[in-house]
Amino acid sequence: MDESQLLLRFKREFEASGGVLHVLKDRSSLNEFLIQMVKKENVKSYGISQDVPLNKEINTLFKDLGLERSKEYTGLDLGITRAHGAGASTGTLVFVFKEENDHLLTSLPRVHLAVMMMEDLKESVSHAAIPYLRAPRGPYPYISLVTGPSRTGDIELTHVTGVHGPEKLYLVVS
Amino acid sequence: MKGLLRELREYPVRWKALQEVMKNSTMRGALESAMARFAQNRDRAIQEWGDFKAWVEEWKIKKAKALVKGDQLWAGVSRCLEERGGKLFIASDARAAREYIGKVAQASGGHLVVKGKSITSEEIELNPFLNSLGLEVVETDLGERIIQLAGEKPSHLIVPAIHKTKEEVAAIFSEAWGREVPADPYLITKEVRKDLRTRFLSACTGITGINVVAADIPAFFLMTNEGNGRLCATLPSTQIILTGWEKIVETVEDAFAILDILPKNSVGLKYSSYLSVFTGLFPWKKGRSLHVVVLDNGRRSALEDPVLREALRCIRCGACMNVCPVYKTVGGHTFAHIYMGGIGAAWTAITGKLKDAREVAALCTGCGTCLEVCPMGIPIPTLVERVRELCKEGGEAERLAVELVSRRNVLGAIAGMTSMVAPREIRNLPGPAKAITQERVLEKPQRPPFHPWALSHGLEVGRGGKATLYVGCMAEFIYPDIGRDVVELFKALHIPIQIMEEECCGLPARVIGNHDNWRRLARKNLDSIPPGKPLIFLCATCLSAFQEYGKGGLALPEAYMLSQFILKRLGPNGFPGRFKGRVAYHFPCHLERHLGIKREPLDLLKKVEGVDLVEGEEAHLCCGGAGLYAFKCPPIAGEILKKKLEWLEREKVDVLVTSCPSCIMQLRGGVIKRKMSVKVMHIGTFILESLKGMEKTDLKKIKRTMG
Repeated sequence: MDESQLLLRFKREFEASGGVLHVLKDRSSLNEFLIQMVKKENVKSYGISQDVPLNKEINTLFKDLGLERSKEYTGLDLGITRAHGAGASTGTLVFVFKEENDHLLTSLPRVHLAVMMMEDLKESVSHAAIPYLRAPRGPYPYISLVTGPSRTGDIELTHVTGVHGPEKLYLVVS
Repeated sequence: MKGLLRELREYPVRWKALQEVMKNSTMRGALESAMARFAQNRDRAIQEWGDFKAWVEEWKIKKAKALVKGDQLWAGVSRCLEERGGKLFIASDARAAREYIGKVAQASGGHLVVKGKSITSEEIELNPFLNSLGLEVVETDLGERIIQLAGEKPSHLIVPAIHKTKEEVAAIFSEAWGREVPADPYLITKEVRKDLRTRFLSACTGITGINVVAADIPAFFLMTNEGNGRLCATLPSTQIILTGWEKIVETVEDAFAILDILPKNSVGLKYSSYLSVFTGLFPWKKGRSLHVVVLDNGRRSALEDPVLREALRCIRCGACMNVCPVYKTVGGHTFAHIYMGGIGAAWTAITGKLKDAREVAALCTGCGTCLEVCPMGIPIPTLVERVRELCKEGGEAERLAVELVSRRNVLGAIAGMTSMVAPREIRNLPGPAKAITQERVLEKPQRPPFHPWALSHGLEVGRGGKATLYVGCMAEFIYPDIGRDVVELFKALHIPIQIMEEECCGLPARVIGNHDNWRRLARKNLDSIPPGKPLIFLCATCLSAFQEYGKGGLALPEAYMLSQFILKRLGPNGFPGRFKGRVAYHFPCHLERHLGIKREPLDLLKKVEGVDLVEGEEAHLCCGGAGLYAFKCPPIAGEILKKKLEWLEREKVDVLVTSCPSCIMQLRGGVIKRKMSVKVMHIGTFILESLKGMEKTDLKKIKRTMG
């Protein structure tokens, strides 16, 4: 599968699982996507991890929009972290954590925005995740694979998102 | 004897209790539609995914290999984990596991424990024990939280509170929180999120189960959709993973392979929302501890059992329950002892509760529908038989009944007497036996039995035929007309036929675990088979029993179901028969799922000119008869039967054809009880009738002949 096919497959599965995807074209397209997200999800506060690609651009925009950047993660509207990989066949994102904050940012806020580099997209989740478990210097301590938002069907099989994790999942592919 | 009397006394009490369960129509409606949805989604997801059968064959071997190496793999995991600062404890039994977890939780410095969904924790009855230590345990999976507050047990492996309506759920939370909660799944979920979030953040101990453990990294894999698992595992400073000893695989690739199929096969979900992979390394949090409790509790000794060991491959996807006719009828509170369904019977036995296991096993019809969806190729009906074999307690009435029906002379005498005193159809049995005739009538045995008739009509034992007929007990004593029709059919087809001295095929003895009797009957039948001629069966159950003899290393001649044999004889040629009407075929469980014959009966029916064949998934449902099952668990058998009959009504079927006299007894009994016009026929009878149709094709004639 070449890159565009791979991305197409990934897009289909990612969106089927309930995620919202934006493939970056230029700076203005990023801003447009983020502004829409902020409006739609009514984001007032956010937290962002250090290793997020486009870190600067996002912070600048959010500052202009008047969002509050916080280091207190409970009750946060939006968490932004880097996805270190993705598996196209299931639309799954791979997160590896070196710092505790990063994993709190993926799991506690109401909305989760992930940013991923195109070259980290792999055919399947095992292709994307196994290298982090077989890393030459030993496995990463904790890996979280995310497919769509948090969801349940426990009450009469009614589909509800945002049980204990984010109710919305956004992704920017750079 | 005392036990037998007690059982007979308890019999009506038992079915009354079952009827009560089934009366709860909300539960049943919810359960059935949920199961149907899961099964449908599952089929679609698996079809899209790839070659299921090849996967099963590969994994049967792979997982078995990992289990044999289990102790060695765990030792490696333990060493590695300790280097990383974690601790691994192998708990020999439930008590050891409980006590270890209790000690760790007590030492965590707080009294609040948050917990992810774990059936293994139910197995060791963890929550009440932790409560007795003064710890507060909060289930964090929404469904588990609902039933925890309701003080109940899960009714389904994946959706534990499927038996609750949203109104009931709202009432449960209203009471727990002391304020009105609206009956809206969305709003309830958001409230639960808030309520549990504070608990996640304040708990000192988090306990979760685990889906699979990869020995090579080593790494622990936990899947959830709600995201509660990862919060339980990462927020509190003390993390406890409780895992069954059997959850281990050799490599991380193996782990991903299992996790790939698990959500698809379970509910048709491509992937669960969250898969957390723990390695025991948490460098950022000082004072953090990880304890892995590996529960043996009978698993390692089950590995020594040639049959029960197969259950250890279970990945708890629950697919077997979603298709189980009994589970769909009575739900996971009745058909369970912690572990649910047929596989649950095996697991209850493995974990040391043989008597409870037998109770669960008693409800299984042995239909084998589960065989088609198990990703690990676990022969669940065989495990159920093994449970019945291992437990010597209870089931005395059943043992006696089987003892009687497996003896031809006794069965002949009973049939003879019954046919003398009984009316043509027994419509309502009195007293405690009432439930048996709730949904069906019992037809009286016809006279004379098949063999005396055959001998007086020129057929010989082991001589003069090109093929040998084995009719089986049902066509011998209850429905000898089937045997006569088949003899006539062979005459019409110009194939000379012979008979053999028959004993019961032994299947009733085997399914209740009476292996002495089973082997005795097998040997007798094998000794009587005339050499060099193909054997032809009228009953799928009998043929599947004979094939089992073969698996025991005994030589069998070629053996066919009647439809297979005729089809083979016809080759590509057409069939001269003609029949006008809507015809459906009922696939007997033993034919389709135990023998794997899925095509031939339909192919044969299609060759008959004018047949309007009605197909549908209902054709493959168990009829609920299952030999003695309809007498043992009549309310369940009756409910299962209803679904089949409703299908026939809906589809306006004229004739229902099948290949098992025992199914005919159940199906025709139901048809007569409901006063339906559909005719239930053995495929031999139907083919014979279609030949008669050569002269004059109309249903009236068929009705007259059958009446």
